[in-house]
Amino acid sequence: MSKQIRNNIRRLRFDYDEMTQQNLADLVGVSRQTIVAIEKGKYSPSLEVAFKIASVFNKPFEEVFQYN
Amino acid sequence: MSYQERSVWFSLGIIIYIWFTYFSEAYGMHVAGELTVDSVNDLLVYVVLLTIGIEIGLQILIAAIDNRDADKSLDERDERFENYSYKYAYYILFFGIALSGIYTLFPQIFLFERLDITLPKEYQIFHIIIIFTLLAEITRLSTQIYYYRVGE
Repeated sequence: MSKQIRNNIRRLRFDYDEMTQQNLADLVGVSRQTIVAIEKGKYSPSLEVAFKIASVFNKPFEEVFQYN
Repeated sequence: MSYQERSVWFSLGIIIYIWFTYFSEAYGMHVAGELTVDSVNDLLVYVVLLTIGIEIGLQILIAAIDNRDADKSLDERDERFENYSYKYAYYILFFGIALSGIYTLFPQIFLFERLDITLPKEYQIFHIIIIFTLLAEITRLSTQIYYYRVGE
């Protein structure tokens, strides 16, 4: 089975005071639809956006994104 | 659906509608034996003006509906999908340009004479370029829609 990039953004948003997708999108500087696509695994963000997302949640990168 | 995706859908719809109108009108003229340089020129001016008018009108409409995102530039996902789409469109455009070049040099290997097209050769070449530009544009927009819908 091939490896895939997975993420915990949905859970982290929930933990982070139920942050909305729009709030996260505004903080990261992408559209809400891009956050939706990342959460669903339909789009792999650039390293820059991935790091920005991790920094919004103040978490290490590997806690937000996994490759398995 | 994002502002960008909606905009792509509208552009695709406009292109298909307008150029279908153009080619069906041109075919009607051909069948009626009225396909002349002047009639094609008039039709082209009409189609170009119609494209500009409808495109401006619809983009204003989308911006009015989706005014929250209208002033935002493309984000990295939009740009990546746009880049994918340009790659495929380029192949088609390249093929079309190559074909029109071959037709210029070796018209006898094509079967256009059987179609009894009354337009001069430069107009025929121009239409080959139009058709492939159109196909490239439809491919570009369709590819973007595909990636927006299905993902990577």
